[in-house]
Amino acid sequence: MKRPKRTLFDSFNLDAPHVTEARRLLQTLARRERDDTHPPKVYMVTSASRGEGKSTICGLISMVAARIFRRKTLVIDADLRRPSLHSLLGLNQRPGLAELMEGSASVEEATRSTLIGTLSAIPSGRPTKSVGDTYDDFAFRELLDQFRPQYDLIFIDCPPVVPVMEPLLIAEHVDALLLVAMAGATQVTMIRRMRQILSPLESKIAGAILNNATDGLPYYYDYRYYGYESPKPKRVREIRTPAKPKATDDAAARQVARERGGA
Amino acid sequence: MPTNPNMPYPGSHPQPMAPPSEKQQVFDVRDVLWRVTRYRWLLVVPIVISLCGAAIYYTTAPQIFESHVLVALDDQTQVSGALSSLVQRNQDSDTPRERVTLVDSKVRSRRFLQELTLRSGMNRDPDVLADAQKAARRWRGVSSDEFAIRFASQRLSKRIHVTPVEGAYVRITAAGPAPEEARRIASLIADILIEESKRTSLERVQARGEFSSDQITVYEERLRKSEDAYQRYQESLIRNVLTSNPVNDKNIDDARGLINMSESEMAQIKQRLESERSDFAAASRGASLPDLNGAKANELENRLVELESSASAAALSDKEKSDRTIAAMQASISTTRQMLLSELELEASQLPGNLSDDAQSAIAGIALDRAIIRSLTIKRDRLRALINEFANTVQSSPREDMELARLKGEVDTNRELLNTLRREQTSSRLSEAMETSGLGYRLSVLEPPQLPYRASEPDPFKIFAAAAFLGPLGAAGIVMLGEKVRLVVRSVEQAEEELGTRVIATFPRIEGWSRPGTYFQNNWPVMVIVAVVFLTGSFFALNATVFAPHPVVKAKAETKK
Repeated sequence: MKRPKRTLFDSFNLDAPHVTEARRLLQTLARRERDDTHPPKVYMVTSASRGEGKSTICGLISMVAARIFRRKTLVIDADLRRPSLHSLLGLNQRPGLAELMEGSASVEEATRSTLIGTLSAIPSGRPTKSVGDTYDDFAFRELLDQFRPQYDLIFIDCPPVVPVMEPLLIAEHVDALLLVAMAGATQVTMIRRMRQILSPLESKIAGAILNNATDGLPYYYDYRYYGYESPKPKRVREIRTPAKPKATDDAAARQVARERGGA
Repeated sequence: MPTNPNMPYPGSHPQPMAPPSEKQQVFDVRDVLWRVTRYRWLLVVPIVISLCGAAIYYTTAPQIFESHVLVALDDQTQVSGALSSLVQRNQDSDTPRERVTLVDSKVRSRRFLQELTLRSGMNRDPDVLADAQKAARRWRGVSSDEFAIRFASQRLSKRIHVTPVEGAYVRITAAGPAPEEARRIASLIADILIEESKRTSLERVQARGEFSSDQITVYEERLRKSEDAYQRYQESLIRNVLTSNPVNDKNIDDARGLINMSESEMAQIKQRLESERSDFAAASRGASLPDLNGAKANELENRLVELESSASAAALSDKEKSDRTIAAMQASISTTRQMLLSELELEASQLPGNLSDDAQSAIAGIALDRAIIRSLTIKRDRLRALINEFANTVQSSPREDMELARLKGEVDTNRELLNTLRREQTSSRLSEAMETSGLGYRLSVLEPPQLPYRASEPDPFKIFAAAAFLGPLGAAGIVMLGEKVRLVVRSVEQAEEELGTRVIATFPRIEGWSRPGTYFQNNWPVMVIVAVVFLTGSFFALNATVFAPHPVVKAKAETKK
C-alpha cells in the first residue's frame, strides 16, 4: 500500500519552529505594509536553483497568513516544470494554472479551497504543450489583475531563476520578491548568478529567506538549542475524510465539507 | 511597492539571537560542539578509514627483525698517569652525539660497507645480482660485480642504525627480514668495526712516529745552527769588551781636553818651528834644509809616539791610580825628547858641508819639532778615533741586545720543539706498543648481538597510534577546509553579502520531514563507513582463507628456512 504523502497541514502547529518563523516573517512584512503608502500585495517566491525549499516556504507563509493573520490569501504554483505545491497542500494537480493559460479550465475550477478557509490555491496543472508555449505572460498579468481585488495577499511559487525564464517575466507583474536560499546547500556561484539576473528588478526584492537553518547555520539558529522542538507530528488524514472532519481548525473543516459537498 | 530594500527597517532581521560578528568571534566551544554534532558522520569517516588502513598495513607489512650490538667507545685500558699523558688519549671530552657521529660515519663509510657486503655475501643475493646486471648493461665500464657490491652496500646502509646510549656507549642496530640474518649482520658489524678501529689506530700512531723521527732530524740540525750562531755572537761581544775603549761617558770630556791640549801644543811648536827655520836660513845663507833620518832617531821617534799614546790612555783611565803613572810617563816623554834632540844634533854635526854651529843646531831643532808634531798628531788622531768608537758603541748597544735575545729565543724554541718531537716519538712508540699488544682498543663490544624473538616492525602500537592521531586530524582538517572554502552559503552574513539584501527569515527544517537532498547526499558518510568496514572485513576474510598459504607449502617453506 502506497504511503500517502505528508502535507504541510500535517505538520502545522502553532508551536512549531517553522510556523513561528513564518509568523515572524509575515509580521515583518505587515509592519512594512503599515509604513508603506502602496503596500505590496503580490509576492513572488523564488530561488537560484531547484530543491531549496521555496514551495514549502511559500505554502507555509500562505497558511500562516491565512490561518493566523486571517488574511484572504491566494497561493499560485507557477512552477510548471517541477510542481510540488499541490502535494504540500494535499490538492490535485489539475486543473490549475496550466489549464487556465491554455483555456481549458475556468478560474473557479482552477482555484481550490484548502483546509484553511481563508486560503485558496491554484496548483500548477498539467500543461499539454511545452511550458514555454503554455506560459502566457499577458494572460498571467490579467489573472493577477483579476485576483488583486479579491485577495489580501497573493503568493506565487515560481521556478528557480537561473535555469528558466518565467520567473523574470512573472517578476515584472508582482509587487515584491522573496528570495530563498538553502543554508549549507545553495552554491555561492548560483546566488551570484541569480543576483546578476535579477539586477534590473533589484528594487522589488523585499528580502531573503534562509532555509535549512537547522542543518546549515550555526547553533543559535537551531530552535532545538533553546529546548523548543515541534511536537511529534500527528497524521491528521481524518480531517480530509467526510466521515470524520476532525480538523485543527473549524473553518478549515467547514471548508472541507463544503468542497466535498460541492464535488 | 517596497522602498529601498537594503535600507534597514525595524524587526527586519528576525534572528533568534544576535549572531556575533566574525571579527569578535574568537573561539566558541558551543559552536565547536555543535559542528562536531552536525558533522559527526563526516568526522567518523577519516577515522574509520585510517584505522582500517592501519589494520591492513599491520597485516600486510613485511616483518623486520632487529639485532643490537652495544659498543663502548671509551678507553678500556688502564695506564699509569705518566703514560696517559704521553699517549694523549682525550676521549672523555667527546659528547655522546660526537661518539655516535664517529661510529655512524665509520659504519657508513664505503670501505666498511663493502667489507660488510663481501663478508655477509649480500652481493650474491639474486635480487641484487639482477639489478646489477641490468645496471651493467646500461652503464658500460662498470662490471656487474661492482654494481652488485654497490647496490648491496646501499641496501645494507639503510638497514643499519646507530643510536646513543647512556654513558659512553653506542647501540648499533642491524635490521633484516629474518632473525638470523639480523643477528649475523650485527655480529659482522661488530667484528669489522673492531678490526677497522685497530688498524686505523695503528696506522695513525705509526704515521705519527715516522713524522716525529723526520722532524727530529730537521730540528736537531736547526738547533745546532742556532746554538752556533748564538755562541759566535756572544764571543764577538766578549771580544769587544776585552779590547775595550778607554773612552766612556765619564771621561769623554777629558779625552776632548787632551785633544785640545795636543793641538795647542802643536800650534806652539809650529810657531817655534817658523822661528827656527828663519834662524837656519840666516845661518846657512840660503842653503836647503837637509833631512835627518837616522835609524836611532827613527827608533826614538817611534818610542815618543808610543809614549804619547800611552800617556793619553793613562790620563783617561782611573784618575786615582793613573796620576803617578802619568807623571812617570811625562818624565819618560821629556827624556825621550831630550835623547832624540841629542841624536839629531849628532846627526846634524855629521852632515857634509861647512855648516855653522847655529845652522847645525837649527837643523836638529827643526827635526825634533817635526818629530814632536808627528807624535802629537798621532796621539790626537787616536783620541779622536776612540771618541768616535765610543759614540758608535753607544748607538749600537740596544741592537746588540736585541740580536742576542733573538738568537737566544731561537735556540730555546728549537730546543723546545725538539723536546716535543722526542716526546711525541716516545708517545707514538708507546701507543704502537699498546695497539699491537691488544691493550689499546678504542672500541669494545659490551653486548654481543642476540637472536631477536619478535619483529620490531610493524609495530602495532605505533601504527594504530598514528592512525588514531591522523584520523581525527584529517577529519578536523576536512571539516575546517569545507567551512573555510565557503563554496556554499553557511551563514546569514554570507547570504546577505552574496544576495545583496537583508535576510528577513531563517527557516528551520520541519521536524519529521526528511532532509533536503537525495538519500546519497544525506547519507554518504555512513555509506562510506559501512563500505570501508565491509571491504576491510572482506580483506581479512580473504587473507585468512583464499590467500593464506597451504599448510603443506608453509611447512615446506619453514623447513627450507
